[in-house]
Amino acid sequence: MTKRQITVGQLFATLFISRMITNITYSSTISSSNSIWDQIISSGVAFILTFFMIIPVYLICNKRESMNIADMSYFLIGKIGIIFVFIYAVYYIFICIYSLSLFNNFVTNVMDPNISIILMSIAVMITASYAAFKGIEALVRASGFILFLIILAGIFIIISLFPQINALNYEPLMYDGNQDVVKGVILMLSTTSCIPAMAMLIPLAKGKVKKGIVLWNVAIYASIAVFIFAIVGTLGDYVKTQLFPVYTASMIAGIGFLKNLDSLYLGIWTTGLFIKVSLFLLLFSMCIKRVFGDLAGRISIFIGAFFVVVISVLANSTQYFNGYIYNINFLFGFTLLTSIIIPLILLIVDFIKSRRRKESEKVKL
Amino acid sequence: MLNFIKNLVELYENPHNKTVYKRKVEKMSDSLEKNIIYIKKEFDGSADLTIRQMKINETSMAIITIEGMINKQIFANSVLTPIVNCDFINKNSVEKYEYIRDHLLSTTEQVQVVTYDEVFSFIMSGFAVIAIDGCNCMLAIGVQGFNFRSVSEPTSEVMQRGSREGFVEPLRINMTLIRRRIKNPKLKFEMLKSGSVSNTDICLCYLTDIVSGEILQKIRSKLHKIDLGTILASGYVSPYLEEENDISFFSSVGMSERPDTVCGKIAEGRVAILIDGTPNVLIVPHLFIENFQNMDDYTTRPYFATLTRWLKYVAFFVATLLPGIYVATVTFNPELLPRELLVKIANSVASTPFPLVLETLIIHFIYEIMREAGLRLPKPLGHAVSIVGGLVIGDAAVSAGLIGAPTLMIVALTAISSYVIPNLYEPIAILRFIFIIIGGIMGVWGITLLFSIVLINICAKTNYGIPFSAPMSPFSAFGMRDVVVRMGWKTLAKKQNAVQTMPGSNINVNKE
Repeated sequence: MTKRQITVGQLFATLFISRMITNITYSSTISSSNSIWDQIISSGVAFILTFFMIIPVYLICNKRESMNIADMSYFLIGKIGIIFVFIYAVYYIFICIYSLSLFNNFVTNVMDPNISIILMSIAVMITASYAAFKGIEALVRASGFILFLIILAGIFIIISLFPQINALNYEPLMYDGNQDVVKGVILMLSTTSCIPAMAMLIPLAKGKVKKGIVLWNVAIYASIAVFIFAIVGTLGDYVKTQLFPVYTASMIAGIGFLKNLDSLYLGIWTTGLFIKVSLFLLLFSMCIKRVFGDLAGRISIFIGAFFVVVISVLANSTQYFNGYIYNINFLFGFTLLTSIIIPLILLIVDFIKSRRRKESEKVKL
Repeated sequence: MLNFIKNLVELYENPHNKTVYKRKVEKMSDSLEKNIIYIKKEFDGSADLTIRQMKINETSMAIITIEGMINKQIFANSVLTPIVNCDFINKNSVEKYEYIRDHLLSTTEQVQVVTYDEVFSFIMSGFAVIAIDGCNCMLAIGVQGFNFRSVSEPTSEVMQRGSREGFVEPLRINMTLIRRRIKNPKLKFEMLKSGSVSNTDICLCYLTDIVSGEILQKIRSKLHKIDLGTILASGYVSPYLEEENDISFFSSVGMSERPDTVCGKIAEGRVAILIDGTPNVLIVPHLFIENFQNMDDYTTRPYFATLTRWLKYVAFFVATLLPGIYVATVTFNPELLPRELLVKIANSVASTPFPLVLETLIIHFIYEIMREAGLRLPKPLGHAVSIVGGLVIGDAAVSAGLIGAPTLMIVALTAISSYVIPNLYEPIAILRFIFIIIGGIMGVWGITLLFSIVLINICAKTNYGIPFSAPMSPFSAFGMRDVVVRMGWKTLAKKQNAVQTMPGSNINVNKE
């Protein structure tokens, strides 16, 4: 029986931060497209599709209120359910690796820091392990403060960018066909790692989940649309050559004496990354805990963190790992598996089981 | 040898059971001589034990006191004179005892004691104890008159407006200071004893109709677990009131020397813990945001109180983060600084022999030494230390090119800011050093990550079932009326804000 420890507001604030840091890494390089501007349509399409993606997870979490997806897997298909739990554990750790290696990529290629990437990765993971070890309540409470800071910084950057927007930078939408729109939708949906996270966290939250989902989804895609609008209007064609266009835009942003707002971007990303990696590390430990018990769950935080550091550092140095981690199709497939396919399988099993139960009850009567 | 091994095993099994002084629960005899011998033996010829033996109307009596603990004038007028002058020749010992108790004495505090333990407790609290031969009980009479510091303004919590009274060392005086402000029968004082050697009086103070029974029970249970021999200050007790296994920079036990502050907290459902011999009263549960609130906030106009509240928030961040950010930015990300400022700082760094991180650490270390010296020395010497340290050393070091003027300014600004929130001085001082070191090693990322750790550290704390970070996170819009702004009293008074109703609290709201 899972105790409801957090509120829906806290849950979706944490998930919003986790998604926001993916949004600010948005680029044509990552989406393998030519026009970011076309992807403003993608954000509308992805907004609607995300609602459909959430339905299986929402339904499975509502079947038995106190059970998360790991508990449901065990409950419905017995020990075979361990396979599903294992898939979720791998997915959560993969998201940690993806987020950290993207951050490392940014630091190496854009910032040229004077400190070692390995040291930085270790520091991030030590911090994240500490937060994950402290538990979900500590994490969501900290997210409340960080969300406030991120929103303030985000609004400040956006407002400071608006005077520099040039209307001529906006080309006609879908001028080169709809390929970029499709690629944008795939990228946006593949980075919706929050849905598999919801599968573990919704049973912990008290409050109106439906309202939370709607507000979260609206906020996410509205922020994506605003980012696209701002960076295209500010950078124009220059956006196509930038690895991290939101960072580039924040570098040229400024109001009055406040110039070089890239430090705000750095602050948003580092704190957001910390929240995201902590959250997914915690989710990983919850899966391990479900299979091997409480102590193993706690130890797994540090083991998981070690793997994340090793693989994300390797990913930055070798093309082999790099190819897998930044392969959008692979990420899209993995996200679909954990967001839709597994919850749907569990729903079908539950449906069949309840039908059989009803039939046997009828026979008895 | 066997006994030694047995004792060793017992000590190993019960490490906390190292009682040096075992309390006597032995009942007293009806022989005065035996009782006096027993008491004298227990005190082992202590110079301050005074036993005045006399024979009145054929009855042997004794008055037992501790030198310097009683008011001799009250004792002579209210106790000794009536007893010496009375006539109860036809009564037996018990009747004489009852006569003295019911008709003779004019003091208000009279307690019948039947065990030696009680006798010791009362005489050491300034009572005079009357023992009569043939009676197996004694009468403790309240004639306390020991010397103590008079009620004065607390130097550690100076306020512009409001009361000038501060707590003093005797527990009973502190109780009256609270009672005078909350004239309500629901205000309850609950006495406990702690410390196996010092037998220190500890008093829980709360409003029975507001306090949560669950919180109160937890506090009682924690206080009963104290395994100290002596309790000489409130700082001895506060670690026992924190949550178990809680490793944190910040304390979840509040402390105040001001009766008005303590009364305000009690009215919000908190429990005050008064400890005999110390003017610092502990307050639990204590939330992080309370470190930024003081009595002056509630006596000034709301808009000004809001301004000072925000000054404190800013000062907290400046005091904690500024030196670390300065070191990190100048060392790793100078491009974040405006050009003109960067040129001045770069010139200064280039002209000093030490790396910036070391320079900042050294200045901070010297500042902490000067602060400590100024604090411990007599006041006139303390001023001299400030002048020598601040002006002579500081100015000379900059002129000699040993340290940079911008670094010195940063340290000075940080030092001043840290005094804006005196409750948080200790964690700020430690965190500041850590932020400087991390900023010097890992730059802005290190600062951000360390800040995240501190944030998690604050958010992970739960104080008697109430989140330490409430009402900011978990968020309560209602709670913001005394956090983001300080609303006027007309708004604040609309709804009582008991601590157990904070968002995220898992405390049962049931009253005591």
